[in-house]
Amino acid sequence: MYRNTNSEGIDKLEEPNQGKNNSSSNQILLRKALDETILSLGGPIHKTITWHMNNRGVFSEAAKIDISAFYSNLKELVGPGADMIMEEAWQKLKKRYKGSSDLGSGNPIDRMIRMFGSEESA
Amino acid sequence: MEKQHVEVNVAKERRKYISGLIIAVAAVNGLIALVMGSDVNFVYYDIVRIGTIASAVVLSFAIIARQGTAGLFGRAYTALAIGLGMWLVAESTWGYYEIILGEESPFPSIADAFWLGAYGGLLYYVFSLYKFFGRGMRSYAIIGVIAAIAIFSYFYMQSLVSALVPPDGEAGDEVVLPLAITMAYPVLDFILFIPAILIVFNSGKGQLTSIPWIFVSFILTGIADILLGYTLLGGFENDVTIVTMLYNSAYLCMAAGLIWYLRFFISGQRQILKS
Repeated sequence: MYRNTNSEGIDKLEEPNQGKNNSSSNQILLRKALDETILSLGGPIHKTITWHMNNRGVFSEAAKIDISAFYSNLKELVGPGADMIMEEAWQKLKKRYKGSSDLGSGNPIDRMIRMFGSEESA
Repeated sequence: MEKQHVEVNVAKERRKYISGLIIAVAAVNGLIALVMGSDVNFVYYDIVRIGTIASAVVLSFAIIARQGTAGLFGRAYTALAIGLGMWLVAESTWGYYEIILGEESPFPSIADAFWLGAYGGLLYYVFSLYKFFGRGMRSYAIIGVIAAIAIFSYFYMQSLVSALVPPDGEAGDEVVLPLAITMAYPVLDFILFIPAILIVFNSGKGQLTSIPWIFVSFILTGIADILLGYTLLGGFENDVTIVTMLYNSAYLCMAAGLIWYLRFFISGQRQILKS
């Protein structure tokens, strides 16, 4: 039976530290949400996608993910399934996000970008 | 030590796989064409069908061994393996009657129970993966496919019923079970068709997932079932050669899709994909 041994350091990431470097904390939340969603597809698929993302430099920094680059690479790898992953990751992220919940409408990628964009400008 | 990685040209691999599939289908169905004039052609038909579905079953269990049963894909591929396993039992039972016992398989028979039971796993597979592969489908495409299948199924079922149900007042209880089983196949096929066709329409957009052969296989199997229905009605003068060829093509297509999944989606190998 397959056992996931390659979460690429995500388990070592610290829980977000509220009040101190919120942007970085929320990036960690995003990374965790994406990781959990991909893992929910199955261990070997998680391993495959993580390997490709690492290889393409998308996951090179655990605490900073370029959402647009992640999405376009994911789309290139798994086609329409990328939208399901982003939607489910967004649902997870929304539950854990401690900032303003008013991020307007649009697809999950736009909302995630808005979420992190608003933090950086604050 | 850092593991070595390999470079894979996805477009080249896809062409290679398609060529391989075409050669396999041509070889298997070429054999069927060669023996179609023989008095014992059914023996070859049965053996080849059992062989082709067995190849898909072996691959589906290899996938379970590699990825386990957890996760969306783990559960879906477990259901698929169970469904394919039941089809193998059904094909083998059918072959046992015809080859070993030397008699025509009764209808309904235990083989029908396995064939129909398999749809549980197959429907679970298709509908659970539709969430993943069917994303972004336009509603007019969904409505169009459902409407086309509904219209076709209405006329097909009507022709089956009118051919199978005797004229007024002559239908006895003995007609009910065979009729129900005969109708169950196309009904389940039509349900399977909807997500399978939509997924095929939506495919070709992902290096790892660009080949929807497993879903094409379901469509081919459904078409074979529909043609088998016409054969039973005498439309092809009871010649099942074309139907057998279609089943073989479907099973090989399934096997090819499973190889692709095993090789690229859950390979565990460090591959650098090039388009």
